[in-house]
Amino acid sequence: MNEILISVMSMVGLGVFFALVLSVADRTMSVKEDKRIADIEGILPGVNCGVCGYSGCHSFAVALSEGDVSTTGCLPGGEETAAKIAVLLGTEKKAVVRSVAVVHCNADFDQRKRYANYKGIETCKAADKVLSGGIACGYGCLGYGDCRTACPFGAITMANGLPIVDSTKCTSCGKCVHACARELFTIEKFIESEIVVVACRSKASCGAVRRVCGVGCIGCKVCEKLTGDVFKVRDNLAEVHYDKADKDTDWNKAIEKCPTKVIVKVT
Amino acid sequence: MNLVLIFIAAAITNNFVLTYFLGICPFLGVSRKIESALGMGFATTFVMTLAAVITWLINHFLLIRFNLPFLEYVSFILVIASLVQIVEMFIHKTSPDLYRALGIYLPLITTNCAILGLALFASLREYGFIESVIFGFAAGVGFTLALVIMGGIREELEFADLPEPLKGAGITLIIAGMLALAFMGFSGLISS
Repeated sequence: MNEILISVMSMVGLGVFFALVLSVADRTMSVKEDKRIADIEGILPGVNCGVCGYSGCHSFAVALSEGDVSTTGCLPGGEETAAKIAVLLGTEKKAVVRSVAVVHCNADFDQRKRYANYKGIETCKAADKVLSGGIACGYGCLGYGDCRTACPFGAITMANGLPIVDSTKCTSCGKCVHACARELFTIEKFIESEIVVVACRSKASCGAVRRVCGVGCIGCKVCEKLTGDVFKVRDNLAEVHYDKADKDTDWNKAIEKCPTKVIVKVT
Repeated sequence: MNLVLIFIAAAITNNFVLTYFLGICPFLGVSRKIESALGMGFATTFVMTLAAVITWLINHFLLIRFNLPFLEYVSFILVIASLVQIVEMFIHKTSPDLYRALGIYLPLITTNCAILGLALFASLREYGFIESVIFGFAAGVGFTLALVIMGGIREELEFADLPEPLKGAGITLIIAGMLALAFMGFSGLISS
C-alpha cells in the first residue's frame, strides 16, 4: 500500500514539477509569430504545389506577411484568393492573369498507330519505359492518364485516351507537367478568354509524322507564313511566340489553314 | 582514465547509432546536409547531456531511495519529453533558421530511442554522477559524428550516377550499413 502511495506521489510530483518548468519556459521564451500567417494560410488552397516559388503554402504565407511577394503569386487560388489576401494585408488588389494547363498532343486512341500490344502496368510512366507502350509516335500521348491521377483538382478527364483539361477547374498548379511521361503539358497564360496552342510535340520529319499519326505537326510552315513571327517552325515543329502576338494576329486563319488541324483553340 | 574510456566507448566503439542502432530515424531523416546534421547533432547532444544529468538525479534521489525501479521508464520518458519541449522553445527563440531546418525532427527527439537508451544504460551500468554526464555528452558527440559523416557522404551522393531503384532511401540504407560495419572495426580499441 505504502509503495503504491509513494510511486503515485512521486510521479505526480515529477509531473507537476515539469509542468511548472514548461509553463515558465513558455512565458519567457515564447516567440511572437505574425498572427496573419495563420489567417493567410487559411485562405490559401493548401495544396503545397510550389507554383509561387516557395516550398509550400506556409512559406508563401510567411513571405506574404513580410511583404516580400506579390499577392497574386498563388495561381491555384486565383483571383479570389488574391483578393482575400489583399484585403487581409490591406494592399492594393491586382488582377491575376488566368493561365491553364494545355496538352500538346491531339491524337486520341483511334488516331495513334501501334506496332505492338502493350499489356503491362497501366501507367504512362511504365508504358513509356517498355517500347513506348507499343505506340509508334515517340512524342505523343500514351493515354494511361498519369496526368488525371496527378491532378489534385479533378480538372483532367480522359476522352478516348486523350486528356481533356477543364479550364474552369484547372488552377495551373503544374502537377500534370511533372506527371506526364512525355512532357506534353505546359502552363500557358490566357489571351483574353482563350489561347491557341500547337497540339503536338513531335520533332520527327514530315514523313515520319505522317506514318504514325494523322493529326501531328508536319512542319509545313503554313502558319508561319500566315502570321508573321507569331508561329515559328523549329525542328519540324511549330511553336507559338505569344509575346509577339498582338490583337491583329489572325489566329483563326492559322487554325483554318493548318493541313493537319494541329493548331487548336483552348477556352 | 575510466572517464576517458567511457567517453571513447560511448562516442566511437559503442556508437549509439552505428553500433546499437538507436536513433536511426533522425540519422536517416536529417542527414541530407552537413549543416542540418550538425544542428540536429548539437540539439541532441544538448538534450542527451541534460537528460543524463536529470535522469541521474531522479534515479538516485527518488527511484533508488524509495526502491521504485519499475518507474524508470515512465519517469525517464517524462524527463526527456519535457526537456525536448524546452529545447524546442529555446531554439525557436534563438535560431529560427535552425528551427526551420530541423522541422519535424526536433519534436521527434522526444521519441528518439537513443536518449531513453542512454538514460537506461546509465542506470543499468550504475554510473556515478560525473560518469553519467560524460556518458551522456559522449553519446551526443557520437550521434553528431554519425550524422555528420552520413551528411557528408549524402551530399556527395547527390552527384553520383546511381541505378534508378537505388536512388534515395535505397543507397542511404546501404551506406548506413557500410558505416556500421566500419564502426564495428573500432570494437577492438577497448577491451572490456
